[in-house]
This record gives sequence, C-alpha cells and structure tokens, in this order.
Amino acid sequence: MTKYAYYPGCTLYTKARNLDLCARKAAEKVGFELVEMPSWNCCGAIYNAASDDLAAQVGPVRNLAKASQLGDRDTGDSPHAGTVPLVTLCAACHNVLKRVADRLSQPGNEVERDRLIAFVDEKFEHPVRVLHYLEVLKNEIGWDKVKERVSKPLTGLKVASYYGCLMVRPREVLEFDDPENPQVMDDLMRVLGAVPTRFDFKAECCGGYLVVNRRDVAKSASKKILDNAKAWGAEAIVTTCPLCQYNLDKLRAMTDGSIPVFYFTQLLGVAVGLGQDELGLEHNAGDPVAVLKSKGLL
Amino acid sequence: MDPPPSKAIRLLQLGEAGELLDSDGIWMCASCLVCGTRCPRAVDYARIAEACRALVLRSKQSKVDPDTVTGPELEEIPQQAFIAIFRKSSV
Repeated sequence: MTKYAYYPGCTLYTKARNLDLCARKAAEKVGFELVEMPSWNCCGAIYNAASDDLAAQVGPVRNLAKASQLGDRDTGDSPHAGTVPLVTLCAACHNVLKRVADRLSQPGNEVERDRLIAFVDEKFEHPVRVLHYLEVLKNEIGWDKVKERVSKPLTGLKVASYYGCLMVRPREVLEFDDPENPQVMDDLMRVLGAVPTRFDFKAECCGGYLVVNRRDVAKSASKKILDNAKAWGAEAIVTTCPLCQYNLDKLRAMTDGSIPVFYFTQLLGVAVGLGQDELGLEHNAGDPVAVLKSKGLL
Repeated sequence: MDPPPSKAIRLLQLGEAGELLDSDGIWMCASCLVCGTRCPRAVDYARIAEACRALVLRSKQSKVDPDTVTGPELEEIPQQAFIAIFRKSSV
C-alpha cells in the first residue's frame, strides 16, 4: 500500500475530527495510507501576501523543511521525481503550505528562502510537493480504482460540492481546478454513485474567519450559498474546509436550513463501507443521519 | 464591503489613500481572491488590502482586540479562524 506523509493541522485534531478520521480509514479502503508527519506545527492558518513579512512564513517553512527530510520521495521517470509528496486535507492548511512552497521555489526568492530556512534551523533536503487528498484520489489512485472500492453507492443522493476560496485560488499556484467552476469533488461524487447538482456558488466566499468578529457577514455570505444549493435541489453539501463546514453547517443549524453539510471524506467513508461509528456524524450540526437513512445508506 | 474593490482602487488613483486606510472595507476582505481572479485589468485587490492593513497594523493600531471577542459560540468556532482573524487584524 502506498504511503503518503500527511499534515493534519490543528483543527483536524479537534473541531474537525470527522474530516480526519474518515479520511484515514477511507484511504486504507481505497489503497493508500496516510502517515502523519512527525513534529508538525501550526501552518499559520492564512497566507500572508506582504512580501516583507517573513515572520508570517516561519511556521509553514518549518513544516515544509520537516517534510523535506522524510525519505519517501517520488522516484523513477515521474515528472515529480526527487520531490517529497505531502498530503493535506484542510483547505486552509493546503492553501498556506502550497503557496509558501511555491514562494520558496520562485527564482529571485533565494535570499528570503535561505534566511527563512536558517531561521527555522532545519535542513531543507528535497522540494516538497503539497498534494490535497482529492488530488491523491484523482491523480495518484485514479477514479477507476476508487470506483472499484465502492461497496455502498450513494445512489440517488443529490450533492452540491462546495469548494470555497482556498482550494481553487490563486489558480496559477494551487493548480487544482477551474477557479470558477471546479469539478474534482463533483467527479468524486459521481464516482461514489451520487448525483452532483449544478451549484452557482461553489467557489464563493463563506465569510471565512470573519465569523469571529463579524458573525453577520459570515451568516449572510453562507446563507446565499446554502440558498443556491437548495434552489438546485441539493440534498447534501460536501466540503473540505473546516471553516466552510462550520459557517455553512453550524450557522445554518441556527437559522432555518435543512441541508446537511458533510465533509467529502464522510460521504467517501459511507460509500467504501465504513461503519456509522467511524463517520463522526455526531460532530455535524442538525440531523445528518436522516438524509443518509432516507437513501438506505445507514 | 465598503468601499468595494472598484471604489477602493479609484480612491488610490485619486490619491485618497487615507480614506481607504480609515475604511471598514479593508478589514472585510477575507482574501478570497474572487475579485482578482475576475478582474479584466489583473488588479490584485486582495494584496492591496493586505498592504493597507499592514500599514495600519504597523502603526500599532489593532482592528480587532481579542478582549472584545466574546460569546458562547466561540467554543465551537474552528481555531483556524481565531489564528486567521488575529493575524490579519491585530498587532
């Protein structure tokens, strides 16, 4: 079974345990193993675009340096030969680590790179290729193989895939998908047997961290997203970001919504046959069980 | 968001940076990058807003004081949100 170094990040150990646990278990069902990288620290949670604020890059640089020291790197004639793949799940961690890795590799940034690496006092042994779990499923495992492992297809479940901002932008760095109409999660839902719905706001902002001090802003941004998903007939929403999940799911539960918001790993877990006690549904708001039961999935 | 990105850029073109720095708009930008992705003139407003926030924060003024952020819902919000808001909005 292929092993991948894995960076979980802080939220997946606490509020988003349901994102992490299903991911690890579903990976093994699908045919790869997530091996948590040793001695990781905070990713910084948000990318700092100021070119002179090096202190903001220290956390992610240390993580990348630690990952670069891991021996398992791509070999042979792969275009990624010599790089260490590092798998992420949280959209925020993914965005920050990938953008900082890109920043370190850009020509002209050598002085900044050397200063940062000297500051964290770590060796930077190999370039790190930051990969999202969805990219592993699509590009490394392949949809056909994932499909073979589906034991409980999500037949008839209408799912709106919500990507938010951090997975898709900036496009030229994330190289993940179309920033206006991304498809990766829609494709995964199709592979799992679900019906992806049209969804106009799949890459709009949910208000993000403004929920801390401007709950009204996050609430109105999230409401527009939920209303659109409902208008297109979605019975469930999937996401990969703990903050999007919170804003859409928990704020929804406090208003009038009725669509459960799952992590994509939870629906993947259902489809590959994880037990109900392995899905972490108790961490979702409202009644996530009802829609799954109505489709005969639980 | 007040001013919206279009008006913010106009203020800068007119030399009215002070008005932008005093505005609420630069703190309402959550760096989602939608505007820059869609801008036909390739203006990266999220980065400009970051620069404006940096100018304010480097004059030792916090926009969000941790002591004023309270409420029972804080127990539930993912911690990444706290790290992000305080990195973006406080000294």
